[in-house]
Amino acid sequence: MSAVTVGQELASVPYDELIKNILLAMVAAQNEANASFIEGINDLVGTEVKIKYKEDSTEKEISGNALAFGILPTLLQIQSGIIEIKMAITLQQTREFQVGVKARMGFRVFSASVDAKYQNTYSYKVEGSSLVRIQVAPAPPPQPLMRAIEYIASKTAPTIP
Amino acid sequence: MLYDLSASVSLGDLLIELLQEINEGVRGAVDTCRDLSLPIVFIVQEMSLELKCSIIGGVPPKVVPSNPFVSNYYGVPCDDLIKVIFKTSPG
Repeated sequence: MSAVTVGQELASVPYDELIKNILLAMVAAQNEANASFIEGINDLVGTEVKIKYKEDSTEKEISGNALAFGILPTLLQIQSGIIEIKMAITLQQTREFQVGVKARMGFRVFSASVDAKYQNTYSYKVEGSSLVRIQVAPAPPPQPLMRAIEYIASKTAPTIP
Repeated sequence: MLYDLSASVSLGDLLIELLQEINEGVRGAVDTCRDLSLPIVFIVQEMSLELKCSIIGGVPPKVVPSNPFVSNYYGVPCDDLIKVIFKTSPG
């Protein structure tokens, strides 16, 4: 058989590439949310909060930055995710001596998502396709960032008369 | 050069290859994050694969995954199912 058949260019990728790309897409999405969170922290550090009150007929003031008052921006996190992909699994034989091809068993596993184009191109029914389900959970919260927030808050504590 | 494989492969070899592909995929994502100094925000807890295929009995059992090439070649649907669940192990 030929090395590359018509339509195989669509989305047929090595299985490890598929998994890697899915995980990186989720990392990219979460990083956008994290960047927004850090921007929010910077805004709060630069926001001066003044609370005025009267004590014994004397006007007094407590001031400090918003972060020091314990105000935190909202961090939206993907709590858990399940990704299901209908795909056609293809095995492709490799020549053992070829440099740069990861061949362990003499073949590699390729996968192509079974979308409308794929189904129409090959008259392939989605019922016949395989399914991969990836369940991911968020890693523990970024402790260095939380420690940085605590440090800033402690060093810029509100001035209380 | 890679060649389409419509012939069967042993079930054991297929599972070994899948396991290695998955581990390489996860490791590749972690390595890319490290290279780009991105925080690693997700842990893969579980990955399951429902592989539609034709299983050919024998010793060892052989497997032909379902795909358009195989379906057209043999002219019959692949109605067998192998369900494998991969879980993160410590270390």
